[in-house]
Amino acid sequence: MAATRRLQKELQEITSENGLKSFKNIIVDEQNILNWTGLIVPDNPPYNKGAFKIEINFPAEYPFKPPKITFKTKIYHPNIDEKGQVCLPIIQAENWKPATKTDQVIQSLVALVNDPEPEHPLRGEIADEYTKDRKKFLKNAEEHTKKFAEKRPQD
Amino acid sequence: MIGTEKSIESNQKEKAKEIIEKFFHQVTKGCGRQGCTNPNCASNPNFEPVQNNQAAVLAIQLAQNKAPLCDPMSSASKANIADDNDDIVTSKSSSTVNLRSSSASSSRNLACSLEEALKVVKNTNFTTTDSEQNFINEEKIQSLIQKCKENYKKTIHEKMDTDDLASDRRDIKKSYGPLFDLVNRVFTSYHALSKSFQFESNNTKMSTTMPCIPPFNIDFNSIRRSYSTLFSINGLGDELESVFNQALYPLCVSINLQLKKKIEEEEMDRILHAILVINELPILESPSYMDKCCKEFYSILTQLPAQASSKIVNLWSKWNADELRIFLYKAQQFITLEVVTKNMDLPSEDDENEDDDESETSAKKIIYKNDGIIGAVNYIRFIYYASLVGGRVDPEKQIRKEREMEIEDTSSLDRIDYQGNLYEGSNDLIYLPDPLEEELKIRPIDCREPKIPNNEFVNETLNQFIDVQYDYVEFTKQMKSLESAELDIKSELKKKSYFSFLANPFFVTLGKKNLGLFYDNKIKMMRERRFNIMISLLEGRMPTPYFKIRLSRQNILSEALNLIELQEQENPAELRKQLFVEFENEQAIDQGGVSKEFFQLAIDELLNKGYTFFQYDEKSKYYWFTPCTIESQPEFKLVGILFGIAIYNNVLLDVQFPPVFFRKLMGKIGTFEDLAFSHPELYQSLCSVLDFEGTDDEFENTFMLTFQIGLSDNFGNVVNFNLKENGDKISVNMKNRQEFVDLYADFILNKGIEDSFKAFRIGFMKLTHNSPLARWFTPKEIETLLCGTKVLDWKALEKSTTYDSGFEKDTPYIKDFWNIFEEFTDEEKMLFLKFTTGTDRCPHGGLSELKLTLARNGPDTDKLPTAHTCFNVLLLPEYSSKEKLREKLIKAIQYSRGFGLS
Repeated sequence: MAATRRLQKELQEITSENGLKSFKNIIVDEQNILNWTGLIVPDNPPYNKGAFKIEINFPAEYPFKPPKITFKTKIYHPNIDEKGQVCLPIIQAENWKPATKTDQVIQSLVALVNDPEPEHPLRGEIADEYTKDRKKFLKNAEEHTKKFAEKRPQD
Repeated sequence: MIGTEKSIESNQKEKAKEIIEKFFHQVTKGCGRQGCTNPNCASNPNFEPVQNNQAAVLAIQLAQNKAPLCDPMSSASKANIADDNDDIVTSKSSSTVNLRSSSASSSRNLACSLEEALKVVKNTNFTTTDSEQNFINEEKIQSLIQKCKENYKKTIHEKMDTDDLASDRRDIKKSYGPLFDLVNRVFTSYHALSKSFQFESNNTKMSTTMPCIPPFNIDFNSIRRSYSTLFSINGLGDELESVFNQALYPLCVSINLQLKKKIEEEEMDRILHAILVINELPILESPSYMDKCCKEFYSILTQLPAQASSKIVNLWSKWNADELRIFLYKAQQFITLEVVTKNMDLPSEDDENEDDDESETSAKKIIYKNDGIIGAVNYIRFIYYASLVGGRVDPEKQIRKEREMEIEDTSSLDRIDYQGNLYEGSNDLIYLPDPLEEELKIRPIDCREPKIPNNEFVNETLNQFIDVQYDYVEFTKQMKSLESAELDIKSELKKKSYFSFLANPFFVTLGKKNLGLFYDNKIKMMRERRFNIMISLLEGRMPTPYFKIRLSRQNILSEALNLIELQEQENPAELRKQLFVEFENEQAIDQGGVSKEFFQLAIDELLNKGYTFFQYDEKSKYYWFTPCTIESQPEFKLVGILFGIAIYNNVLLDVQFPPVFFRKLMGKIGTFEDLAFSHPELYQSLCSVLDFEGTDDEFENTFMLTFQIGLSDNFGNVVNFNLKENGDKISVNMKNRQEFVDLYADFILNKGIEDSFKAFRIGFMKLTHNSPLARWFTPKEIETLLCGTKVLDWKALEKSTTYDSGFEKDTPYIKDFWNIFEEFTDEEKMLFLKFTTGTDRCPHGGLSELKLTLARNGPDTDKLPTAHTCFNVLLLPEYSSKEKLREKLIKAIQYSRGFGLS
């Protein structure tokens, strides 16, 4: 497969000792190297109480077209909608660069999870809550995390 | 930005035209108010009536001087006055009669002056012995002017009574006599002119805006400097103009006569030199020259053979666009004025029904009898081709490959014998290449970006007067005369020259050309129909005058393709009859409506019902051929025929194909550049591969590419292709990345779809080959013919919009929003589309497919609205007022201009 070489190398880099600390349990579809799943392990509250499963779909044209990311775990976050869709500028078609590596994509995703951007929300009511009543937001998000999130993997 | 400037410029041109037309109307017919006080209005009792020619001159002068213009009266108030005073009505009608007769008399005048001129020509001896000294150049002019000025000063000094104007004029004439003499001597002989303004051997500085190339040796900068000194001498203007006028007219007439004979190349080059020197004269634009000199000058160009023409075109192709524009506008202005001042009537419906082949005076043919207009169109033709040759032209290698492909593709088509043709003994027109295009080795389609945008060559005013039916007949005669010239070269000199605007498609509006194509198709349909009726009478069968398709409402596409296949094998001529569609158990008679519905349903099936002919690109919103599809070649050919039938029967198709589709349909090859529109995401990525800076190692480690690419088929499966042999084992590096990018683009646009596209194109050409389609229309225009212009339904956008985070359909704020949106200009609406969705293209199925979401993004703020283009979400703060909302919205969409894909 055309993208195999690159994806194998990227996978190797991500899972290596120096790889990403906040992205664990990566599973690559045996039938199809273009489908990955893994756990996002955020550091900041209220999301540091759990882990969030995401799916990464690489297109056949990779790296000439960007990968798509969806959250499989429900998350209470101003920038991630109920369907798990996230609007990440780095993988938007207009901004995508084939030189961008998957670990950069995931890093920017983790950064967004850790520090929400209420100015560009996908869920306005959560963004509102985040800016106006941080306490309430933290409480709601934490409850939500406890209820839905995966267990954090042991280091 | 440039776009808007240009449109302003053309608007101004339009405006100027309009104003001159108004003045012309005012000085010929008047504003209609009895006793109007405007000194330049025919309704003013003190106004002396003017003849048409003078009226034109006067109109231009008034427009230039910004003279007061009367408001034309509304028809209601006119009627009022008419009731009060019958005199006005009668006087008005009599004045129109006068005008008619005056234009007739002016053409008689012209005939007289032509005879006069001929006499002058006969009396002028061109081979005078002193022709050695007969030339003009900057030095000569400057020193002569100096001498004359001194003469004049002396005369003035001797005489003290400078108040006498008449004597002053006499003095000027006398003092500048030697100068006038020289002008008269040189500008009556093309031999003398051909020796004029040559480069001094030691001073061959090339102009950067007007360079000169062989066979010419003309210093254009020096010409311009000389002319500008000449015409800036105080008090000399009128005299000089008339000297030029008297010299030039007979010269142009004599060149015209000369061109009727066979001319050696060297002699022709001399004539061309003279033409180029005359062409620079600023006074050609002056209104008093329009009628005689200019006309005669332009008609020289009609007479030039292709080889000579190509020399001028090649020279001009090296010039700056702005220099060429000056010529173009001059000619356009001339044509517009001719049309306006010759009091032409618009072709009316009655005219078309009348069988008035005999009546030469028919209004619609006036433009075809006007040598000036025909000449000016030819002049514009030169500029058009100069703009093509000098523009960005595809590489020679590519063009050569395209020609070879074309021969291969069309070879299978030539064998079709249409029965109607055989029966009537008349064949389809054979479209021989345009002689000038042959000479220049360029076709309009080979130029990616002309020096001057194509739309500047269209003259809207004249286009109103083109009678397409008549023009089409002239066009066919013209094509046939080319054909016979091909057969018998010797007869070329004897052949009658025909003129049609359709042979100059760059000059004609899309609407008029479309009508021409409609006639062309109708004629073919009628021919097949007549033959069918004839043959069925002989054989005692029921005649089948239509190409009838009878379908059930299930599987419309496959049934239709089967029927087409059957006809195509049994009798391809059948396809050229008018289409007639019937649905089983339905009564409707197809008068176009049923055909339209049929195409709509068939195309919908083609794109959406499990067929894999085409792939939809979410980002570009275009369809494209699926690389290495499972659909067979014969199927693609049938789909091509289906598209051909649509254009042949004038039915619009609801499909969106990228520009490269239409270019390929016209025989071009897709290139990397085309990818920018058809596959913008891919294009952008490939560009960043080309732009990467670093070492070979860095490049390979970053991209890890080989010459194998992956694509997804219509079912989402990955398919791999090697761009070259063993491509999967060859790494892409800094040295071969250009090759990789070119091969990638070539694969997507050509190689990967080669078989299917070829089959599709051959099918399409079954109905469009031997039609003027390729000759008249640019790929962009063919897109409009096939798919129409998309009128965006903004209401559908509003209806399909959903709301989030506190906004609701009935919130007053949302109502305000849509109110504001409605008031946006079309351009602003497009910007809004781009701002919220990342592209200004409408998805297949209309704007309702966008599923726009308006989400409240906090209370009043000074921040601008933002958008999530990945989900078509507009994040809108709840601003404190409607005015603020408008202001912020407009600011946000304006800032987004210039970003994005196209």
